[in-house]
Amino acid sequence: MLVLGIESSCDETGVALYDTEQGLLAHQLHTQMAMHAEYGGVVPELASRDHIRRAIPLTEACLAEAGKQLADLDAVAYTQGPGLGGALLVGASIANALAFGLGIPVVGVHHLEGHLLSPLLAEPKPAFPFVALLVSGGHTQLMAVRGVGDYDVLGETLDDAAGEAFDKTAKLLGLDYPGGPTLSRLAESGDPARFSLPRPMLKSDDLDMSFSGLKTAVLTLVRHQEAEHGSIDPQTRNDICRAFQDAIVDVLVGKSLKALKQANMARLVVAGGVGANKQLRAALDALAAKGRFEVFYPPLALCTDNGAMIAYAGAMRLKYAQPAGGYSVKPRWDLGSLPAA
Amino acid sequence: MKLLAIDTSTDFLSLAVLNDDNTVVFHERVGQKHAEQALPHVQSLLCDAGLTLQQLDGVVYGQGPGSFTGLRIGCGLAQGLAFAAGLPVIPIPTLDSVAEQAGATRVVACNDARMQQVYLASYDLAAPRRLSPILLLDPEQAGSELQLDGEGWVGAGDGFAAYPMLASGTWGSQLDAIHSDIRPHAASYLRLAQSGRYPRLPAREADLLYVRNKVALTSREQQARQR
Repeated sequence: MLVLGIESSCDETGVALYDTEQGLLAHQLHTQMAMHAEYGGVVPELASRDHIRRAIPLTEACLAEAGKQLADLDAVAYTQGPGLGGALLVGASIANALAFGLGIPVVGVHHLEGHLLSPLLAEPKPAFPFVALLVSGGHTQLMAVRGVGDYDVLGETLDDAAGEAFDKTAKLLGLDYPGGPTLSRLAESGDPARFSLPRPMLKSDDLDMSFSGLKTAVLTLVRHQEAEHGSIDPQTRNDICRAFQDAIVDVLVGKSLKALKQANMARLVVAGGVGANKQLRAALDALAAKGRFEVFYPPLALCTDNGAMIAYAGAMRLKYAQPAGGYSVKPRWDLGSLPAA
Repeated sequence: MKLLAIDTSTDFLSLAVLNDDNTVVFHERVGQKHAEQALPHVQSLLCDAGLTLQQLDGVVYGQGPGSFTGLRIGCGLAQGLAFAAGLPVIPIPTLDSVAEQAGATRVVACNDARMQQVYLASYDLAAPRRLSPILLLDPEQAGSELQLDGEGWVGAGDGFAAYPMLASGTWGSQLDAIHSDIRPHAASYLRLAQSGRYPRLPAREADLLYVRNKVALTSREQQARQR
């Protein structure tokens, strides 16, 4: 079964083709990052305007990449939520109309389920059950995953998502939007011993997290340094970046280990944009090398939002495919409410 | 000619299918339920017209200006359907449809743009042609920004209902009649599309005319405003 996947929930338009026999055949992505940069964040209306220009050309590019025709499609999957309402509606409208015109069914996919299952597109892929650390600019959750659609949230951030904390902290350090990846790069040249920032909730009994306080701690540190030295020199800035990243990584790693223990599982899956963070991967790989658990990541290209994970999740949910017709989107949508596939 | 027309730029869902001389129409106020209702009604209209999507010559859609989200639902549907069936799309400005229904040769089409503004354009339907660009204006700017030469002007569109002040004053007094109940209508798009004056585009080139293009402040503008 050949499934076309369309992702348009935020600032990336992703389209992909997944075949249940042959695997991922094509995947095309357009990121709007540069467009939103001068606004200092994602502007929802501009995001929607861009999605509608990109979706069909990206679909054509996918078909060409895979050497397939529209007539070869068996279903169309699209991100139904959660995300920006207007942006979701673009993908939903195109997906439903396309499927209607082709006389094939549609599957509305939960964006986070897409992320959660994306490591299954890598080789070797994890077997169920596993603990998933879903960590991006919009989400930070730990989940027990026993099968497709069988998810329990073990813990989550009570305020900012980890990726959001990266971007906000980068902004207050004067780095251009989206500053998260830049902050990580600068942290590589930072001295881990110079500053120490708090590890919020690391020692709490639950698996919840909190990252908004770290941003404030960085602000206090910056003000202190400025008062003392007049300004922040590049090395000091790098050292602050390092202290910040160390704190986030410690919390994510600590909570992941606790989640594995609590769920009594031995496989950890990391997904979402922050899952591409080198220091996080290095820390988890080092611990996994001791043999107590295995760690899995999606292919690097599929860490950000993408169509491949939507096509894949759609393919796993073909039994829920509906005839194309009336549709709606779910800007807020609880992952726990999904039925098992 | 066989065409499907879609307009979702207002709180109406306006759909029509042309099968040569026969037109079938669905035009009802649906609030924000365009996405839920559009495709099921497209299906019934095609059925009533005795056509399949593949038998059409093109898909017409309201290009804007209008509700941003509504426009994208219409454009997304038109694109998706046209792409699936290998058909061209035919975008037509919403104000062209409003003017076409006014029953006069000199028409000022005016739609409510929200935020205390209107979308406005003047037409000579004897030619037929649009005389002005599609403007985004404060209602009180209409008189200075859109000059009406000659006599026999008629106003059309919900902008006149939203801003009654448009009908008063020197500029407003040039309008012999005002039809503020006229909305973009799918049957009107079908008539316009048949004129051959609107280009047919591949689905991937389907575009929208938002007219209101400044929708957010850049970081620099935000900072300037804070000072």
